[in-house]
Amino acid sequence: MALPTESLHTRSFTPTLVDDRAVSLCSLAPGSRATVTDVDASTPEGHRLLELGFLPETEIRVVRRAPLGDPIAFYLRGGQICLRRSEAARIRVLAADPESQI
Amino acid sequence: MTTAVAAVPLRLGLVGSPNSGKTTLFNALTGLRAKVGNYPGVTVERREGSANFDGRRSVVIDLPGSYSLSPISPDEEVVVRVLDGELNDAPEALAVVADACTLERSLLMLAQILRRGMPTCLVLTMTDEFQARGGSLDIPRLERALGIPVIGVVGHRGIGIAELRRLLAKPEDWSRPHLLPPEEIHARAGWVASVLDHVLTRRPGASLKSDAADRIVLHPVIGPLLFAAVMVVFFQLIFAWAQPAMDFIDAGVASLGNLVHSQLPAGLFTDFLADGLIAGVGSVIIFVPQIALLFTLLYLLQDIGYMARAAFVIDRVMAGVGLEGRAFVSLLSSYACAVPGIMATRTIPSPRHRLVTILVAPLMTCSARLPVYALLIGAFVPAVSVVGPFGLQGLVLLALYATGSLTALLVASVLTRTLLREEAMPFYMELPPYRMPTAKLLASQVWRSTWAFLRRAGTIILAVSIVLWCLLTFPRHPAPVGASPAEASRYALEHSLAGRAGHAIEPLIEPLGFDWKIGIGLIASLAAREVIVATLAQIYAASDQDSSLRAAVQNDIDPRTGEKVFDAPTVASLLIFFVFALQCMSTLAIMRRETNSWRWPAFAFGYLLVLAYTASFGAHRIVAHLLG
Repeated sequence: MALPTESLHTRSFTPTLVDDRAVSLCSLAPGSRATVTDVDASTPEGHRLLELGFLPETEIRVVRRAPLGDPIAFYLRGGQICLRRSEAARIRVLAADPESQI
Repeated sequence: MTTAVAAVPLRLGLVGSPNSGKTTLFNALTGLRAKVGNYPGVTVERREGSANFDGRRSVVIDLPGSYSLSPISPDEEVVVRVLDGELNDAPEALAVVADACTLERSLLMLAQILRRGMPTCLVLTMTDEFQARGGSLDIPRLERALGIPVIGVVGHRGIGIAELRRLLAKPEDWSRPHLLPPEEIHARAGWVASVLDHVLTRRPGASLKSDAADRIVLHPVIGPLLFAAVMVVFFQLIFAWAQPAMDFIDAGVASLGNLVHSQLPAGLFTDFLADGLIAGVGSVIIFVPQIALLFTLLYLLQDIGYMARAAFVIDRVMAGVGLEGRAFVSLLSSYACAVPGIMATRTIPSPRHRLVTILVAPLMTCSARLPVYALLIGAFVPAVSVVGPFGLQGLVLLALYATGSLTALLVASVLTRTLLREEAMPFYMELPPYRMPTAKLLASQVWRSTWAFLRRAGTIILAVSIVLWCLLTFPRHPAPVGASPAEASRYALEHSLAGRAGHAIEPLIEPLGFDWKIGIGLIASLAAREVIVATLAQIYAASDQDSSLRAAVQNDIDPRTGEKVFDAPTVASLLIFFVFALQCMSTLAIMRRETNSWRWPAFAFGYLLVLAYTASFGAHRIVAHLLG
């Protein structure tokens, strides 16, 4: 895994910093990797994201966008799942490489 | 003891997410003898098959694919109700089917299932792919961590199936978990992580082959082009490849009819047998090659994994009309038949999206229209090449499919913006790795669907054929003295009940360019679209014994005008009518069942009839105008 676990551990000691650096999953460029920090599961549909495996501490790779820009395919927990941007926006992540944000 | 156990069949439920290999496993355990029905009160498909596990008779119930026991779709609700024992034929034991590669996700649902306290075992599928992707798993440790039996199989190769059968024979002996997993999702995730911590010694990597293929299939430019190419080739194949088999059946049916005429004494019964039964059923059986080919291509695309990619590529377009990618899969299934297409909408969580998809599904060109299109295109569109291997006939067919599909999107767009407005619902979809389905799985799926079509031909169409033959034959009027045999039979036909009904609606359909004979066909096709072909076969067999149906419609002359009945404007108008009109009892019945009222089937029938009439009228005028 290309995830910089060291720095993640360091961050986990300073929770306020984690929240500051967390971004929306839909803002990441294809190819980038990230770790889920928080999911808005206030509705049954949002809760479904958790059941699909978009859970805190899950490592995610942004695989690609569809030819028309939406939906976006993610690799997580051994399989690929695609979400629309509006769904991906419910998921906050820590990008492994902050540069990957677009 | 053993005999007592063997007397009552064991009821075993298969639970798992979509794409987990559940269907392959179900087929491997039960063979081809699956019984398909519905759950009582709801319309979710229920499949069960009998099996013999190590001498113990069993019934295997294939529960609908589900991602979680917190249901958000009708399919998932059924799974929960079955597990709760609310539906009377609940299974006594469960086999949870999970793709070994996505075990991290599947265990989230397994935890919920274990909490139900039923005897449960875990079947890991695709273990070959798991290993090929570098994964490594300690199954005995997983058994100890979960407290239930775990077994790895490769369903399509039959590896591990014998061992699985031995295990499934004795659910009484299965170990049970000592501690139940937690219910709350974050706690469950923690439980999954701790289980896998000691078990999953190496995680599988992403499927490199699938990733490489996706770089082409989902490429921003190549992807949509490939999508279009797949659609074009799809329809060319259906039209070109099935032709030899169809010609063969056509010749067979014709010679069987002639044989009956030549061997049996002339009379009412012989006419009934040759012109009613054989011609009627034969004109539907002839389309079995085309329909089998269509189902083969549909299932092949689905089993390979392209269907999900197509939904991924097209989702943005579907979002434009207020629907989602899964609606596309349902609409694509409707190309085979609107009935399974409408049933496939049950995976759509939003009730309104579902309703809109159901209402536009009949606009997708189903296989029952193919006989009509095939007859008219085959008879009236010249078989010339346009570009390379692509002939004019195939392109006209493609244009008809495109007209129906685009109208479906247009109507959906109007409905989601007006009558059936709703907040956007979530869209999520799995993109499974590409997998080559085995010939056996493909054959069983194609056989089931084609057989269902044939059974329809054998029941509805047979019944309609008999009724029609009677309507076309009675009351019997003696022909005027001195008439030739052809004139005599035409006279009899015109004065039959059907002939009178056709004449009665002629003023209504004349603006569309249809005569009373097409009118009879349209009335008969209210039962099912393909019936019009059987009807025309009867009408023309009644008028002319010798020529085949295709030649008969080509040469039919209107006695009043002296011109051909099927001229270009009429052919265009009739084709367009069939693109839109909802002439199918089965579709109306399934709509009634799925929406639980006659309101929506009535609405669909009405709006599609108006659409069909208007568009046919327009097509007739435009083509007539273009031809001067």
